[in-house]
Amino acid sequence: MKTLAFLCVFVVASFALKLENISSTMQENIDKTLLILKNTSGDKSKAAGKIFELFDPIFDYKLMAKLSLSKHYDKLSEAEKKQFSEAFEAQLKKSFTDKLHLYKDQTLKIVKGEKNDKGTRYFLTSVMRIDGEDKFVVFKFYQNPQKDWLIYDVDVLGVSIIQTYRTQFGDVLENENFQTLLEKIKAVNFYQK
Amino acid sequence: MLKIRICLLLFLCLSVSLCDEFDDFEAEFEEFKVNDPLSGYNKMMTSFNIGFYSYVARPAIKSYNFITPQFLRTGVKNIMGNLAMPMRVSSLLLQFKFKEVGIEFKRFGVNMFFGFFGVIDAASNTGIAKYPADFGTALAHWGVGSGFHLVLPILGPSNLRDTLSMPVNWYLVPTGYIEPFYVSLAVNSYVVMNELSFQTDTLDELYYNTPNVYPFLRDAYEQRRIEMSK
Repeated sequence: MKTLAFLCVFVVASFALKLENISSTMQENIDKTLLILKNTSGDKSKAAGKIFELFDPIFDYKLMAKLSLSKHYDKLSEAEKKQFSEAFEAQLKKSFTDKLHLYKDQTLKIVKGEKNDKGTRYFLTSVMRIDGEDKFVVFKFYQNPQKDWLIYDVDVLGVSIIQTYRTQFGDVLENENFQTLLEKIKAVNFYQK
Repeated sequence: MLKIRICLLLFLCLSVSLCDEFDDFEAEFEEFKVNDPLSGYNKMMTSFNIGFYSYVARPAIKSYNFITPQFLRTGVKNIMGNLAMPMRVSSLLLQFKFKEVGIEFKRFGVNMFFGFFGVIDAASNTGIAKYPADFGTALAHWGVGSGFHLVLPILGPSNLRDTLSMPVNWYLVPTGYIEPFYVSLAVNSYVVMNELSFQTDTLDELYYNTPNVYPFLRDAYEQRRIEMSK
């Protein structure tokens, strides 16, 4: 029991992100990310590995996986939930890695952060200007039971990543089955086309 | 025994709190709905459009990129971006966004005088913003609903409101007045191809690196339009 308590405290202390630190930590991580992209041009997987080291503790991948399946998540067995969470995280990371080169010459600046009415969410808005046009990226945080703030969704140009996954996955599960969905998630690989 | 009871109680509290939390998330994501009575047709047309992109548009754009120097493509893009100012300004005026209208006029002037009639995007280089807007976003700004989602042949995702707005947008850009009409169509097609020549990497990612492409394109389009109309 003591070991468990120690582990809990250790995990929380290692990855804790408090509300007052969100803006500074995120800006620091974004700046480091852009630096990594400049210094590792051409080697996407190396860059991605370093970037995930920065952001893994802040993203709640398990919750994102659960939210992306919506009502279908609870119908899965424990083994299927685990399989899906792993495949989802891998897909999310792969999709991000493949898109890295699109952002290598950009600068992303945090402009504001605000809580929702209930105070249960925190939306951190950042902006990059491309050809004169402001493109907004909103990182959406929630407070977990350990009172840390973690990302559960990201809006890119007004498009919620989780929302688009929900309709994609829901459509597959309504017309086909879980195994097909899993195969589709794992099969996506542009560079094999 | 007491310890077990306390643990069970804590576990129960945590479970109830997590359930509430999950319901909150569900409510948040359920707010967004797309009216899609033509989903069968839309899926079919999306497959056609991806086929058209893969076997016709993409090779044509790649060839165009290969034979056309970057500065020429950028110049065309900048000129057309500047000439689309009347569409942006009129749509911003309809939304009573007067500050943005002023910045757009400033942008046009800077690009005309310091950017050699718009060949160089001097305004962006000096930090003057651009505000994308069209007749569809102006209507949406005042609460006109999107109607049903509609995938157009070759042009891709749209909806009833934006499709009906297209003729208005056409005549809000100078290239819409070129006579005869087929020349205007050819010029505008070239402008679109030139614009897409900068977007092939993004399009490749969207079309080929998405587990279920139609619902993704549909939701991304509708959400983006909502964002643009704010």
